[in-house]
Amino acid sequence: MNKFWLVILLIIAWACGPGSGNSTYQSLSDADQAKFEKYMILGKEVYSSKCSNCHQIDGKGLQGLIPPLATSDYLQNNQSAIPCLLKAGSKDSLIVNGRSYPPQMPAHDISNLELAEVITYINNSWNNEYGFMPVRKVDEILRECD
Amino acid sequence: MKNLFITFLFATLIASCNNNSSQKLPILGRHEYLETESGTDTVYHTIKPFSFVDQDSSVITNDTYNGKIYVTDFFFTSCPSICPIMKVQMLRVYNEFNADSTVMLLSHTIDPEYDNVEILHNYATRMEVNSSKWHFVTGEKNKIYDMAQTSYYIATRENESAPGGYEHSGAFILVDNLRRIRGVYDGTKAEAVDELMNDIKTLLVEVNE
Repeated sequence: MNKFWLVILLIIAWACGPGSGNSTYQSLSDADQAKFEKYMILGKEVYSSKCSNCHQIDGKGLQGLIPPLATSDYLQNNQSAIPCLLKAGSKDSLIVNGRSYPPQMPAHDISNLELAEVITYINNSWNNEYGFMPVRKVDEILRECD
Repeated sequence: MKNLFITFLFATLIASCNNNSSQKLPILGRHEYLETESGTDTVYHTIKPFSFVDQDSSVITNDTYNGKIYVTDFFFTSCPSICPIMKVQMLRVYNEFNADSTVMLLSHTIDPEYDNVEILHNYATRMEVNSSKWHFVTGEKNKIYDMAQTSYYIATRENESAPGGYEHSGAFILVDNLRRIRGVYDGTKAEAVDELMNDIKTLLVEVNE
């Protein structure tokens, strides 16, 4: 029964997937396109369980308290800092779209693969087009975290 | 699948019951019946007198809400779990009734040791809300917990294993101008808050009669 729903889900995801509109997707090899699609589905699950309480389902955050992920210059311009930020949290204020947010990003117990999935999901949801984050890149970046 | 169908059926039935907008909201809580010479009087559950301090250091009591209806909840500023969702939803209520001074909001911190006036002030400032409409209050911990449990019927307790160290309900409670509870809603669900906003409109008709 579960398998049946998974197949249905995958078909729906394939049919409504990131496909033609997203320039990141179009620039990938066939193998990476398949990975990208999988990351988008699994990344959404990671997002729902670890991120959306604060950043909200629509990625808009909360007023001046929790920064938006949908249309975020910080996210766009600091891709190589994001895996470390998600994993270790931050005790510094963050400036997003010209506005300062309080230092409240908690550390997360999260695997490298989950990081790759959720960052790819955030990078390519809500009209964001901030690129594909494969797990090999997360591995590389995490070795360099402070 | 069968369960889904039954759930759907019930949802449809409940939705069709709610369509009558001229209906008054129920009065919730334990009622007492007093024998009098002329018969029986019903005494409704009412919110006890309280006194807390808000984000501007103003003392907030029942009198602050005199002649008003208000929506109240319990949260804490460092809460990593459901509070931000509740605040997004409460903000919807704030925006919907921003122009109507009869509707007010009251958010209690359940972590008053950390959430002092200064922390609440920063929080409210970052929320960009007007403190004459939406009071964020702190005070003595046992008094806040007592209000939650005995006046608003909300379960709240410290629990080290819960996210942020507190276990609490995400309920929004609607209180009328006579300090009676008229509705309880899940403040983490947009549909429940839609219902709350409809109920506020129904209650406003009754209050303005």
